[in-house]
Parts: sequence; C-alpha cells; structure tokens
Amino acid sequence: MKMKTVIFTIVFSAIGCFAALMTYNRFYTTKTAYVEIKKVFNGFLMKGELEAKYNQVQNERAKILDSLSFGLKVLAKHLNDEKNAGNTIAKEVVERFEYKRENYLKLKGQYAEDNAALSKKYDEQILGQLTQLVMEYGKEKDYDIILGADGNGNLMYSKESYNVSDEVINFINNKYKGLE
Amino acid sequence: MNNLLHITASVAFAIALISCAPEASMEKVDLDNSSLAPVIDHSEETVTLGEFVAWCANRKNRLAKEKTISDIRYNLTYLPTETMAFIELRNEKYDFEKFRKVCEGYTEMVYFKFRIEALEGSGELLKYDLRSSSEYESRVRYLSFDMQMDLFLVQGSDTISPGLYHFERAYGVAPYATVMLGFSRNQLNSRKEFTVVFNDRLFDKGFIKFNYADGQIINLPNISGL
Repeated sequence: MKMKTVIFTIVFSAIGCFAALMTYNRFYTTKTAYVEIKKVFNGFLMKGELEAKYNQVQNERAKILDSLSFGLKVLAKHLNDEKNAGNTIAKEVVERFEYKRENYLKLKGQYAEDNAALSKKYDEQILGQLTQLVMEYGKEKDYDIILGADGNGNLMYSKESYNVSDEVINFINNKYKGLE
Repeated sequence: MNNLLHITASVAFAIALISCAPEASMEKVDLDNSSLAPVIDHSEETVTLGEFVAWCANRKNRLAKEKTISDIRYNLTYLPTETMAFIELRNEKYDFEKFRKVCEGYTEMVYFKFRIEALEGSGELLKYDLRSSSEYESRVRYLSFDMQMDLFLVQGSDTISPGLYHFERAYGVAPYATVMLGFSRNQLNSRKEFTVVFNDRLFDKGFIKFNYADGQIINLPNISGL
C-alpha cells in the first residue's frame, strides 16, 4: 500500500512538473527567429523583377544619351577641323552646337535625377511588400519576434537554427506570386 | 492527504493537457491559408443559384483572393457567367429561359471584379492620403482610363490585356474603388494556371499578383435547374 502511494506520488509529481514546464513554455517563452536582411531582400522575386525593369529603363536612357553624345562629338570634330583648316565657321553652326550641348547636359542631369527617383520608388515598393510579407510569415508561424540581421551589429550572435531566411524567402516569394 | 494529492494531480494533468493541446484557439483565423477549404472536386455538387453566388464570393473557395500591403487592401474575385447573369437580373423575377440566355451573353469573356480599399480611410478612396488637390483629378483619370494598362493576365509566356474595363465610381460613398475586368476567353485556357497582375501606380505599391491554379475557375458546383 505504501509502495503504491509512493509510485502514485512520483508519477503525479512528474506530471505536475511537466505541466508546469509546458505552461512556462507556452506563456513565458518568446518564439524568436532572425533573417539576414540582405539575403532575403536579394532573394525576393519582386526585387529581381523591378531591378530588371530599372535596368531596362536606365539602358534606354543611356542609349539616348550615347546617341546625343555621339552627335555632339561628330559636330565638335567637324567644327575643330574647320577651325584647323582656317575656315570661318558660321554663327548658326556654333549656336546649334551650343544648343545641342546644353540640351545634352540638361537631359543627362534630368536622367540622373529620374534614375535616382525611380530606384528610390522601387526600393520603397519592395520594402513595403517585404515588410508586409515577413509580418504575415511571423503571424502564420506564431513568432513573437523576428529580428533582422544586417551586419551592422544589431544582432551580434545567434545559433544558426534561429536563422529562418531561406524559409522566409520561400514564403514571401509564394505570397508575392499570389500562390496560396 | 491522498485526496489533496489527487486534486493537485488532476489540476496539474488538466494544465498539461491544455498546454500540450494544439493551439486551435490561438490560430489566426484571418489568414488566407488557415481558412481555405481543401482542394476538392466540386463538379458533383449541386446548389441553388443564390448559394452558388455566395459560394463564389466566399474566399474559402479560392475564387475571391485578397492581398493587403500596409494600408491598402486589394481584392480580386472571379465572376462566373452565372454570377454575371445573376447580377444583371437581380431585380427581375427569376425566369429560367431568360437566365440561360443572359448567361450565354457572357461566355465570350472571363470576368473579374477588382476592388481597392483603404483600410484606414473612411471617405472616398480617391481622396485617401492626397498630397495635392490636383492629385484627385489625376487619380480619377487613372482609375477611369489609364489603370487598364496596368492590369493584365499572365498565362505561361502570354500576357493578355483586359478586353473590358469599367471603373464603378462610388462618388464619395465608399472607401473603396471597384473595377470590372474582362479577358477574352479565346486568349485564355481556363483549365490552366494563370496570374492576374496589377502594377499599382495609384498608391505606388508595385506589382500585386493573384494566382489561380490549374482548373480553379472551372471547379465549380452545379446550379440546380440549369
């Protein structure tokens, strides 16, 4: 009888400890993970798509500038040749050259500004969707905190098992593609 | 002493069970994935017309899809021909022959309803987060005309532009804007996967994609009497 009570006590004490441990885990521990921001950013499909779009626009603009620059060089060479040959250069030709040069410089500056604005706009769009999707990932996987490691010392050390970058990349890409 | 031990043990055991139970009550019911019905064949099911329309609008059945990017929510709903006919005849007494005829009139295209909603807005969507007075005009112009160039359907390597685009103005009544879209059925294989893409220039959120898997828009229940 005494032995039975001892066994009974041990078993239920073990259950009690287990219950306490589970309760602690459930209510008092924080489910944490981290992502490598650069890796996730670069692995995000939207980034690749917008980067390609940006490059296309930038290349088109560069082509236009190259073409204008070539025209200017030809005209400048012609003017130089005329000058070296001792020929007088018509005022309109010089004015035309100046006008084209002004136009070229103006367009070059404008394109540089437009490229920067486009790059900023795309970055904002990517970050907007990325933030939203990582948030959805966190909610779906019931994380309390997801840290972003960007190599600036925000996260000095973590076990690799807390790194969910690959899983996050997979999740955000599927969501971005509109898959369920 | 033994009774006390029993009570303590029972309480501990109950706590353990609660702690170990799957987190059903903690599950996020508002997330798409958790609320989706499993993919099953609906072709054997038969429902009434009213039930059919409600079935199509239910997000669990995958014809209506939703995406939220910070403060803006996008919703795309596939509208089968029967739903289009139902909408057209909703104020009339049901007549089977007429209904069938109206359905036939919608077979040329694949229709979608696309809605953009400001989650924090209360007035007209077009007035949400305005930066200047001229922006309102350009938003009206964009939604009325230019937005159709930013909406397209991608299937394999084909990109299809909408053959029908209609912006339903809310005139300050609702914090959302609704657009009806139609893509030519001849250009689309309804049995194959496709993605409807919106390049959002209204709120500058970038590409918003909605994917429909193989056969998703034809996996529908039958309507009784049709």
